[in-house]
Amino acid sequence: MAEFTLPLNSRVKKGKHYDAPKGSKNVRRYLVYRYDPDLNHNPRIDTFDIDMDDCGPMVLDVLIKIKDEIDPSLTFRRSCREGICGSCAMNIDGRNSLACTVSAESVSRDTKIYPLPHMTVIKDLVPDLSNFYHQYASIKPWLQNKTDPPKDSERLQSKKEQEKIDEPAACILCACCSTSCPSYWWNSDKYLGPAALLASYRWLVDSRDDAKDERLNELEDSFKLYRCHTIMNCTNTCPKGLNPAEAIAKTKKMLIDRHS
Amino acid sequence: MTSELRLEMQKIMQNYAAVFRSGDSLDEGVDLLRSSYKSFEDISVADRSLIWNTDLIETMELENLLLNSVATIESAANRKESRGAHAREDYPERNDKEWMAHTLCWVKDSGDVNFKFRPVNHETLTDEVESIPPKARVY
Repeated sequence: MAEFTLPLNSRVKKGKHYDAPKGSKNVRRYLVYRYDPDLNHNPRIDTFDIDMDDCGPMVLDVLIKIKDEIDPSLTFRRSCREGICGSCAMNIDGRNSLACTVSAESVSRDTKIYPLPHMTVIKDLVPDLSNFYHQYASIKPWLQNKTDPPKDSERLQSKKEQEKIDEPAACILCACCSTSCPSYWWNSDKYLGPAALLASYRWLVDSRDDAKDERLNELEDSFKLYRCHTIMNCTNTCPKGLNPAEAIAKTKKMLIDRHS
Repeated sequence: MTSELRLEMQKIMQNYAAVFRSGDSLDEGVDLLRSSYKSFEDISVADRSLIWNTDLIETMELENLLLNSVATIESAANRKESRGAHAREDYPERNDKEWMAHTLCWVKDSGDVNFKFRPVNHETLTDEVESIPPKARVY
């Protein structure tokens, strides 16, 4: 009989435990996923007890405190610390979000911090986003236009036209949505995922773009767009409050309208 | 540890090379920063990996920051006038006669510095507009 076992390194072992300093009154526990690619070891969960009276308010502050004061080898991406760069996207307390915009008090007292789900982990909390970026590039995220711009002026838009792209253009490509999508987990090789599709929608509804037909042709197969099954995890998790699921639904409608 | 030395440097720069400066506090800051610069020799990197080593990157960034901090505070202490964001309480006036010059600063491995000066170019690149002679800024 066939035996089914998980790959050895998919089992997460218990790691080290770091106590809070003696006399700490407001302690929160952080269970952080660690994976060191140099060691031939399984990933582990390190436990850090943090005195919150001596720490900034956000989960990112906790991670920086751990890196600065307890374990400098803890590895994560971070840059702007104010929710605009999308670098610190990770799975916090079971939910994909930006560590810099999640308040430590808003999540459970024993907070689990994992990398974005179902991605290849490079190290600790750093996932490999190459495929995600390739997918974004594949939707040609730039203005395609067959006519020259008006002389002495930009290509102008009405306020209404501009408002259509306001929201989808606010996406910061943090990958929280795509990596929360079960359909993306199983088919990320062929399904573009909510982030790339939201970006695609942003160009489909841009009044200045002439390549709507070509863009829709590109999406019209059974995987790139139609692997979206309106699970809505993307919209639920988006740290910027955007709605990729709606954009995908509207893109599907554009394709149907084109046929009728 | 990288983060400890970085915080030490940040505090020195914040306290001694802030917006309002004076000769005494700048000199004090120079002494403190020199010893921070020296202690970089004994820096330790905990992460020995060649893959995504942020500990190493932060240490290399710190080396660059230390060099820049030394150049900044030494040049500030050396410039005995006030000009723009460099406001010295012991020299409150702008002194175009002696200080209308760019400071060029070399930081040696020892942490000692060398200064050279380059004159400010007052001419425009083309003759489309007349060049405007410098004068004190008043509010």
